[in-house]
Amino acid sequence: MTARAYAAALLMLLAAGPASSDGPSSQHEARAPAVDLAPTGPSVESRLAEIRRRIQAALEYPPIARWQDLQGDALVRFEIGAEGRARDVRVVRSSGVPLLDAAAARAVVAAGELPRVYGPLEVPVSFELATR
Amino acid sequence: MRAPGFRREESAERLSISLFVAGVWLAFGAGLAGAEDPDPAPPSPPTPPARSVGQVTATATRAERDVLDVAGNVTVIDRETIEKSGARDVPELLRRESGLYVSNDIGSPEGYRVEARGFNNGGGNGSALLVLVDGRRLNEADSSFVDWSLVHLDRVERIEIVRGPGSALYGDNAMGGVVHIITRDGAGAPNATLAGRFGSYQEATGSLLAGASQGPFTGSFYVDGYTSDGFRKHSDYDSHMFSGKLRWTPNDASSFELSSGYSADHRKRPGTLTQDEIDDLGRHAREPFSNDYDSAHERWVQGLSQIVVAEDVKLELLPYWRSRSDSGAFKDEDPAAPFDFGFDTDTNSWGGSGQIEVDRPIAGFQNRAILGFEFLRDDVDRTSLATSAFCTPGCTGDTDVHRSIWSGFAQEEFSILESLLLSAGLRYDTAWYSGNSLSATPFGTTLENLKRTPTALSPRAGLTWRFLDATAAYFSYTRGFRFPNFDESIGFDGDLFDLSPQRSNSYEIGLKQRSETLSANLAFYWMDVKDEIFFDPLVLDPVFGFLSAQNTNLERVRHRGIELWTDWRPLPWLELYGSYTLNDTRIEKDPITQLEGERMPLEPLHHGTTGLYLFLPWRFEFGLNANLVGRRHVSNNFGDGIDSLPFYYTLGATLAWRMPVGEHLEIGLLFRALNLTDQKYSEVGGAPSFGSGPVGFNPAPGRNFEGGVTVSWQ
Repeated sequence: MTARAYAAALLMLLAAGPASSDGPSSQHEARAPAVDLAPTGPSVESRLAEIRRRIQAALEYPPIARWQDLQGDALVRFEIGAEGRARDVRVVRSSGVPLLDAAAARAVVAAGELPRVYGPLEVPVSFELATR
Repeated sequence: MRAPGFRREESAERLSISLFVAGVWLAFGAGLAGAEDPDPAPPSPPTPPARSVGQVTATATRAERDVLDVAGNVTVIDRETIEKSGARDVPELLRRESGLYVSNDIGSPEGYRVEARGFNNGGGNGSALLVLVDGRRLNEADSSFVDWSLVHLDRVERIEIVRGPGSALYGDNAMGGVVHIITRDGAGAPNATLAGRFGSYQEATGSLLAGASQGPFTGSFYVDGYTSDGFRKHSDYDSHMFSGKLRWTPNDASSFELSSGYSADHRKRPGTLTQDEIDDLGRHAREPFSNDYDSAHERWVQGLSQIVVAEDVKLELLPYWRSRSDSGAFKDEDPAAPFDFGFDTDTNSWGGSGQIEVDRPIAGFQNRAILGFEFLRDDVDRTSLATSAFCTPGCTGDTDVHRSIWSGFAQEEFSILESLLLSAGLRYDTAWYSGNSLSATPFGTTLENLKRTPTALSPRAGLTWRFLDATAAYFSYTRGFRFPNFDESIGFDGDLFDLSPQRSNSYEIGLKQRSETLSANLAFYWMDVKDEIFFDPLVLDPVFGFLSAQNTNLERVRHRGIELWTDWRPLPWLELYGSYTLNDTRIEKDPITQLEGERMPLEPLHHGTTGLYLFLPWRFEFGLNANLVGRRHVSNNFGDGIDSLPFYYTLGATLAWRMPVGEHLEIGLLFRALNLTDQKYSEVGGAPSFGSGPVGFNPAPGRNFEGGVTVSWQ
């Protein structure tokens, strides 16, 4: 009885965090310290670098944008879900070109399984046309 | 044992209850306890800061050609330049460009004439500058002139200017050059720009441009109105316009666009004044007894389909339809010799172009090929009625003519060395003119049939040497042509003129520089024009032998010149710009009227601009612009016994201020003073086409002012 009471109180204390954060991501945020502070495995920085590398690999310049001379910078925000894939992907700062915004968001989704990192992540995406 | 134990259990139970209550309080109450707002609604949770994974970049090779790679004198006026210029309309901006000569007879947006490389020779002949809006031809089928009131600067994204013949790619009318205007599309988050200007001569104008993107769709619309009493009496001008554009980009490889618009304007024409009339009545007067006016309505629809069939292969189709109705009158209400000529012209044009572009390097060297076709169809229906002492009760004209042009073209650009680009192109155009013109006078009725099939072959070749990263030199050979337009082919009285297309062979060398601080173009050109169409005042009527003044072909006219344009930013707060054009256009061979050696009228030998921008603290910008134009013959004259129009200059100043208000709003204020020194000049003047008489001048506006406000929301 005492143990159950302590456990209930502890759960409620832990619930205090989720109650003040985004609903869908609350469980991940609650677990996050255990992930980020894992004593073994890659550091957060190296996991972020790996995420960047995979998004870069998935990023493509839309062919029609190249022909229409469209360039721009977009900022994409996302989180990493329990299965390791990006979720809640949205463009928080538009490039001004819907086609490029969509390509930026698509690259994050197409990056596949990503190293787990707690909390929201942002990736600035630039589309640049180079002269020969 | 049980009791203490019980007590202990009781104590533990009380503790657990206390912890449970504490947990509940912490879980649900802490947030609320901290809130002083009695509002029972919970506050929105704070968004945790996002960690950046670092920049990613997608790069691709630009499909659009770099200005430095083009074997020609090319400049681009972008939106930033348009906004800081404070200019009211497109021709005002084009005045600052080398190689283009801009004049305006009555000061209204419709009175502009813009020509390149010496084709501003006045009279009744048409324009030799091709003007495109989003790829659609703006030159009118009957006159080949451009109604510049149809292009509103608030709607323009950028202007690309190519000097010299561009017929190898664009065909008919691209003789002196090509001006391509690209309109704004309003893409992105919902956005709107509301602009208004008020100025001297009761000028008032307002416009609204709004656009937004939603998913694969981007749409925008533009509406504006303009009214002005004009500098001169009887030069009132009123117009309004609406246009819309919708683009659908269903995937990464295709884009479909549809745009449409309607424009209407009405203008009074003040006529010309002799020097005596200017002295007696003032520069702002109208021509005595003249009561000319004109009104136009125009509608258009155009599409643009772009499909990337492979990463480096694109298909493009551009169909369009355009309908224009002009009606007007030239009235001389002099009781001693009344004259009244009225006309109605309906022009329907439709057609389209298609091309396939391949941008695929070969062995690492740049390679770009274009293969395409174009079809144009023009139908012109004009009725006219003239009454005068010689036409009583009246002379009528009824013209119904058609023109179809089929064209095919091929272009290739290939880098033969890393810094050496070879370009070549060929276009073939064939035209069918048909229709008839019926004229009825007191002396009889005449029916003339129009049937011609002119053709034109237009090659070009160029070599560009990019010897420094930001500097290139080029040499080019181009051939241009212009088919006679309907006004040149058929006079208002119904007579047919047997004119040949005018053709040119042009050679050009130039240097171009583009860097952060300095942009410059320098070009030397030499162009021989065969059969240049010219409204020749010295042509004799073949039957009666008197001067009949009509369009004719001059056997050879030589256009030579130097064009210099620079834009220099020596300091972050200072920008200097300038242009100079030397244009020597002389008749070389003219067996009909023996005008060999004469310089063509209305075209100054020298003209240029200079100016600066100061980017001041607190978001103020100050601009100063000077426009200088050298002497030029009046129209219908070659300097024989009549003074040329004298050199003139104008000075203009602009003060602008832009201030963001909040995150989404920007307010801009503008104040301009034009012709600051109140110069008294005439941009245009002409000797009478028929017989002798005093020169008629078109006095230009004196010192005038305007102010404007712009509100942009995004």
